[in-house]
Amino acid sequence: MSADFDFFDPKFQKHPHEEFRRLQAQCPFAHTDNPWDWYAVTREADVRALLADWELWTSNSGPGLAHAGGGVLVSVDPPEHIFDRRLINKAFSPAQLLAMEGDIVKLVDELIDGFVDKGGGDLMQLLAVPVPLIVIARLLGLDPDLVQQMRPRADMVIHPATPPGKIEMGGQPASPQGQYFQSMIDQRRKMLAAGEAMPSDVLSSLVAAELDGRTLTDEEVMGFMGFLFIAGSQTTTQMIGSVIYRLLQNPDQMEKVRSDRALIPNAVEEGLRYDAPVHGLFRTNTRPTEVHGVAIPEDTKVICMFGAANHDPEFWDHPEKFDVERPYQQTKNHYSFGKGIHYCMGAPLARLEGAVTLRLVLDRLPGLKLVGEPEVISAYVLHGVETLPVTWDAPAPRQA
Amino acid sequence: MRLTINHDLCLKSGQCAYMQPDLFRLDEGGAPVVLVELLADSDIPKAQDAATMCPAQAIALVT
Repeated sequence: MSADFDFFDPKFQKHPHEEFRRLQAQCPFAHTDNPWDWYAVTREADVRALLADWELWTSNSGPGLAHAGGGVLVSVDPPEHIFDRRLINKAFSPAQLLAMEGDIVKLVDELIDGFVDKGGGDLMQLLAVPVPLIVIARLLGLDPDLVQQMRPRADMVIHPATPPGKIEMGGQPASPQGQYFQSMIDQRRKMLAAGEAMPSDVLSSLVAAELDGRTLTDEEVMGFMGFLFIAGSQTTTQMIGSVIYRLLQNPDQMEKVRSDRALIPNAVEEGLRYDAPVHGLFRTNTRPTEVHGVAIPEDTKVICMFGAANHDPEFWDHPEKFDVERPYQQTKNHYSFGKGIHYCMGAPLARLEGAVTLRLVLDRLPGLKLVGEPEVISAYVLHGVETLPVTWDAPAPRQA
Repeated sequence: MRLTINHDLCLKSGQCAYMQPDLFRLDEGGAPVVLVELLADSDIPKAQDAATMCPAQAIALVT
């Protein structure tokens, strides 16, 4: 069978926007057979339509190509999905975020204290990786030091080469992550049974939650924890990396943000639009249907390419320009957090982490510049940079 | 009580129409439309739920 594109071609991963443009113009319902048959929609109008119609385009078969079955939030539709969102919503509410902002500022400040004298390094390892990991660990109720050692790799979780059944959405009990999660769950269940006050975090909410008069099983709690841990760390890492990379690549844009800090939220939003941390996620049709005149049987995997919708010239003015002055009312319509019932619950948190990190980078790392080309992530649906080699003007040594 | 949406804040996530389809629907572009502007007492808990679940905090109940 012929293929219209190859997602696993390193060239695609290096220049996805060019490939998206070609598909939008020539092949709006693109087919590939690697590693088996699936399709992609790349035009904004198509991505919007598929995400809106969750009854036809279900998530019950998972957001990836392969699916182990079960799952939470991103892998279920109503009615379970409504329960899941209500359960988790409080942890990510703007009121909760307001309470967290000071802690995030303090965290980023302390991380910068630790390396500012060096005058250079890889900003991914120094900031973009640890900030989201530590923030999500605290929110969930995990030990930040421990989870940094078991940095979750979303590409291992969702890569189609991972055989179904080996997918570690919740952390398998045998893995170090699974064992650690289990010990935390056991500890909280003991506290709950003894009537002790539990810490105010997501793990406590999950352990105490009731659904139709029953509590969540360990497996379900583990499913939530594993998913939120992964969804809350690596994608935000990539967002932070891409925003800073594009600003460094476009010094005129960097200058605008440096001279007007009110542009920081716009810069983060434009970074999200320009480089969707996740190229796209899959939906599966619940009955035979037709897209752009192509008939497909039930249970066909179709990816909604968020990154392509973010660059569709039918929807955006000059989509290839990274423009921090693009009106926020337009920029906010990007697809990097999805749309519709599965809209990313962590979006407000990701935006906050991005804005705080960017502000402190601008404040505390003057003269920041790229020294060499960043390595691009080459992993299936993930998009961003793996490294961000930079230098800055280190502060003068303090006088004794 | 009136139910309002601040469209400057709205991110078109579609959560309101999803959580409370009696009170909101989405137009073709994905923007929410209020179906019941003047709330009956029985609708108030539903409206409060939508306001809580909105990731943009764009929904308000005003007197």
